Amino acid sequence: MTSMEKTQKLLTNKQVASSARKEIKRRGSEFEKIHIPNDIVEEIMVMLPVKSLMRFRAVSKHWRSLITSKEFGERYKALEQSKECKLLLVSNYFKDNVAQKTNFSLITVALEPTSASVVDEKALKFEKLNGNSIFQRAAMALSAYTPLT
Amino acid sequence: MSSNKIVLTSSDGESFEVEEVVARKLQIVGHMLEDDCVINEIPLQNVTGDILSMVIEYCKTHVDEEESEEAQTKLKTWDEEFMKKFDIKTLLQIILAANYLNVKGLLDLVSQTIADTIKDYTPEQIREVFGVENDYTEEEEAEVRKENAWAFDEADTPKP
Repeated sequence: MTSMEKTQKLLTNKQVASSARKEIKRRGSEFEKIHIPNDIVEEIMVMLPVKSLMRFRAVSKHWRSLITSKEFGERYKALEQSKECKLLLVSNYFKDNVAQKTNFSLITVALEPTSASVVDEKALKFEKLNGNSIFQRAAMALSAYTPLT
Repeated sequence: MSSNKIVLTSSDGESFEVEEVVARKLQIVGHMLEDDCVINEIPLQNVTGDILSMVIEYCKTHVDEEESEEAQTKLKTWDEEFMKKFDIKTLLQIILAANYLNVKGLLDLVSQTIADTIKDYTPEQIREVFGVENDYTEEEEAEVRKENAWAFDEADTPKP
């Protein structure tokens, strides 16, 4: 191989390397503009705790409409019910309007017989603070399901 | 028994030779093979080589799913370790690929992993990671935050 050929080969290698770098850069910027279709966002959303879903309503109008859609609410509820572990969800309404305005022993809330749910840790703390066993008994039957719709 | 090999090609031209049983874990491939059994090279338009290699790694590990409890536990541990390798952006690439290639087990695994990763995110972090434009006005956003104020306490005050 003559030295000229060698130089040419080196040059070509350099060009290849530089175009590869450009390629990486180009793909990098595409990577930033990742688009996640609705059905995949939903796949992820159904796995999220209620608390996260409530917070993510503030992401955008579109996210809020996904989270609050009837279809999603039903799917979410069905999935929660299929889980063996049953927890309690205390709704905003319950915390703000019932827990604060009444003594726990005076609560009458509309109960549904079955529900799956999630505990709001704050409510648990509330329970501990008040040491109220009525809460626990109510909790067993309570379906204070935060309306996702 | 000689196993049939299939070549899967990514959108950026990377080729992977895998056994047919592994390739069939990608349901998109399974369907193609049913339609025409002589295919031995399959171009996959919507997935890059680096992501496809992760999907193939998953499929190879899950190729013979045994019923025994021990095998299941082992697989579960492998899944957990496998997921730990990826940051959120990569997880989103993998979920897109798992959806396109139709690998149900991986789709469920990644969905759960992403949910676990983002559950304490703030709305701002979600917008950034998912590339979502905030179309609320300032007032509207404040209102939504107020309505759901109880869901914000932990996200806004990072754990010590």
